[in-house]
Amino acid sequence: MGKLIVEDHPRFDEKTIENLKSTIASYNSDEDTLFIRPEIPRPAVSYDLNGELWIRFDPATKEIIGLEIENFESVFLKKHPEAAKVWKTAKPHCTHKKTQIADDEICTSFLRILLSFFNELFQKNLQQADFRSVKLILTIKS
Amino acid sequence: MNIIDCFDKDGIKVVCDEGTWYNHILAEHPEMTGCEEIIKATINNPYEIYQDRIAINKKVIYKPFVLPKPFHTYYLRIVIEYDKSKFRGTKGYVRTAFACVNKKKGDILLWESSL
Repeated sequence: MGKLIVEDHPRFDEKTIENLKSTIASYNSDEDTLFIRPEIPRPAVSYDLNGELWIRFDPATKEIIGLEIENFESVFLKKHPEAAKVWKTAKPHCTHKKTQIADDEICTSFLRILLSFFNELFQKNLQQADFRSVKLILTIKS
Repeated sequence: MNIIDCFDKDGIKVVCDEGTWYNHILAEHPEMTGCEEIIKATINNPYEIYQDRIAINKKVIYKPFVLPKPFHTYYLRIVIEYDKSKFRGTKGYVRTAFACVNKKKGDILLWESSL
């Protein structure tokens, strides 16, 4: 088409940790999609990580502001049963109907465990050189 | 009321109701604000169409360079779920739409524009 798609990559740095720690988990059961995002959603562009999940990042700063997992229960949890166990407890607290989003301790704990799980997933993908310009591995504090 | 009411490249009616538009698409992907006409035009004139690797009745459309700045150098991705009814024929429903850097790994290319 005479133009080139800019192959931007999300950037992992100290801010990533802070951004993801302040997110909320929101599950859309109709679409079987889990969103980990800021409480007030921000415009972002999505990056597909191995067909497993979308990493949402700000196109100007490249800072990561959220994650989106399609086919969360039907595919993702079946591939990652360790996350499925945690989800069983957290689901009633993270499922949103319309615009109402549950925000309590269980949901926060689930988010913390899930982010720790993503930490491992990211590390695995980083080793496979899926990202350029990566200097820091995510570490989620409990 | 439908926010999007158009036809895909094969002449199948595709819609997106208010609930999906506001509670899913805009609520989770605010970069799509004001992009209704762009989505309609893309459904009608896509760049590439993929078969979703999980759901047999879902197709994924990509088109680059159609979104406003600062997303103008990325792809617009639209997922359409087709419902086949004995009485009404086939109808498509927009399930999601957002800006993306790359295409989802694993989906199967069905058609691409000759452009």
